[in-house]
Amino acid sequence: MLCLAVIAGTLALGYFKYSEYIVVKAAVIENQSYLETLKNSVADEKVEFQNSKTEYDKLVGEMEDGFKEVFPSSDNYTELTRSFDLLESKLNRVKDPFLISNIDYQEIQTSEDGTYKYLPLRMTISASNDNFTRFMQYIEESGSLSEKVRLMDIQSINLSLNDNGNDGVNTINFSIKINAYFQGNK
Amino acid sequence: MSFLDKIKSKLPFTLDKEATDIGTSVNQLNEMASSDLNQASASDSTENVDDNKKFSFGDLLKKIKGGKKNSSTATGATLNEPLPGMKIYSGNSSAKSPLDQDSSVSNPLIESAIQGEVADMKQFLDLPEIDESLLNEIEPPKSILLYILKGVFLVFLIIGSGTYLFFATQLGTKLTFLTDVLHVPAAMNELKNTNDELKSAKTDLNVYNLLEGKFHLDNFSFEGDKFTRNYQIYTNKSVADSTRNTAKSEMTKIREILKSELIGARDKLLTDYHVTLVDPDVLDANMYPDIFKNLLIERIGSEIISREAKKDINETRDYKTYAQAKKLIENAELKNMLKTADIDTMTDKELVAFIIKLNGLAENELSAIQKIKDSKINWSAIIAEIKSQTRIVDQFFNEGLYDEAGGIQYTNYDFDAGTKRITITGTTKRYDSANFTTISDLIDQLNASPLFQGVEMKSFAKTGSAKDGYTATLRLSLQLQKDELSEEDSQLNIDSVPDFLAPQITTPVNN
Repeated sequence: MLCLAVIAGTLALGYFKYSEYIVVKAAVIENQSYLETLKNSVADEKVEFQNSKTEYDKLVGEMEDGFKEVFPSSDNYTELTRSFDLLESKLNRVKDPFLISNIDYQEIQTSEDGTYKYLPLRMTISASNDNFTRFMQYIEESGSLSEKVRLMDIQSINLSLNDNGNDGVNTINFSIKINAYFQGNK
Repeated sequence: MSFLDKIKSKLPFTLDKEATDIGTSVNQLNEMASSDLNQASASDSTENVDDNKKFSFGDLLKKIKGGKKNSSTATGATLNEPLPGMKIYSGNSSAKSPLDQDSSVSNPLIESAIQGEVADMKQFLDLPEIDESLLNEIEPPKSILLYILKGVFLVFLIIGSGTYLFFATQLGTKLTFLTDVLHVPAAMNELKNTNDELKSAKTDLNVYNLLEGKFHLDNFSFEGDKFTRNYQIYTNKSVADSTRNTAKSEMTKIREILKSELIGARDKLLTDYHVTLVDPDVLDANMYPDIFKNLLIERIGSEIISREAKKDINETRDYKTYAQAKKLIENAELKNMLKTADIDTMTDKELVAFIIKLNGLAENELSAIQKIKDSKINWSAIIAEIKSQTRIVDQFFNEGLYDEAGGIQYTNYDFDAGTKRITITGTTKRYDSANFTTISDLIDQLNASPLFQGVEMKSFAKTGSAKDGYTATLRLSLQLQKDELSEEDSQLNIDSVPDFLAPQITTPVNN
């Protein structure tokens, strides 16, 4: 009986362990084969990645330049003021006036989720109808990285339409409240 | 204790060497013993039962030896002659003993004789002990089968032990020192090593795929920003036609780039980030996606940590890239968007909405900008819409004919993005005194616009004369429907501005 038990045990052990052993050995062979393929893929992907990264670094550089103008890391109100003056000089003509008579910066605010901050400002402007429209579009299209105009948003406008002045040009006097955005802490 | 002693101790009776010397067959002795016992049990009833059980072959020999001595010394009887008080039936097995006959025939005389014999037998029990040490010289019988079995047992024991050791070293991890010492590769160790190598290589590949996917997404966001801007220009009816057409052609070009970038991002981010391995430590194959995801997070995390304190601009850029890429790993919503998106079937408006949503999910720098842009109100488009609706009521609106022909003139607009409320102040001038009708027409017309709701003016008042015309003050309050703004913008067309000459919808102006 003992002899039979030993024989049966040996055979059972051999059978089950051999089955397991065969699976393990097959897995090792498969792993080694796949590892070769995978290493080749990694090498190819690395080359592709390096090429992509070169292009990506250019893009990131371009984006960073854009961000400095569009979405700076600080309120940068002096630069913003200069940009308004630059716009005025571009638009203001005798027959097509655009005159910023007042800019009043207020306290910096932070968004609810902290992802950005904004600098509220009030401006008083006297402009022709066309320049009024151009100015509105300037603010509305702000924030584009390609145009590099500081990201701004109109909060309120109060405009009065005047009759012709002495020079015979229709002007719109408007007071506008704008938020100029910049990066938050997050 | 010798082997012989062991065998003796196992036997149900005691064995005496002299039994063989005596020349009496074992069968005869057994028959004698059984006949004696039967007689004893018949006569002594229950108290003799225990004595019978204690009966031993040695005792019987003693009886025989005692008889021999008696017969040789006293009577000189041969060995084959029956002992006193005993009847031995040898040779013919078919012959019945008197005891057997007793069982069938009851004879008081025989019974009496048997009782006498039993009494004589009791005397045998007091015979001297036999020297059992003589049995030590007896060897156990030799069996070939036993030797074969022993051999087979040993062979299988060795094979079994060898098998166990082999598989324990190959499939287990507790005896690795043996394989290390013998420099024999262990299958399980090999499996673990190749699994580790595979995991490492796959994680390398995953890092490259993830970063490249991010590059594509960032390109998509950058180009998407351009597309959105051009879309704003194209849909703003206050912008000149030529500018709008240029914007439209730009949008067509950018759309192709967006499509390419989206496919690139999809290929890199939606590829399989795991492989299924044979690993005894992993019981469920469904665990592998999480295992490889955690390995990727760990690798990206280590890349982030290694760049944390660096001041170099490239290192700072890479730090940001890795930090943003890490957020993509578990962004299921973004991956689902990438999987289902088909730019070819999207309208421009749908594509803009898709860009905005994707930027929000991608969590790059542009996503914060996009969030702000998404909340912006296109006031110039709203002003244009007010003018457009007013012209339906007053075909000469804003044409400089107010004083001569009358009509509607706005003097003040007040827009508030916070409350999305617009207040318009102005006057209406009519020579037929139907100012209130003009104002009512204007209210209805503005309410009909999908951009506005709740347009109202509850107080009407006018002054004037037929000669100078009648003037009524206008103060309208409008609520902006922001959700409709983009929809309306997409439909706006400069050419669709109302036909000023359409008489049925304009307020007649009395000269």
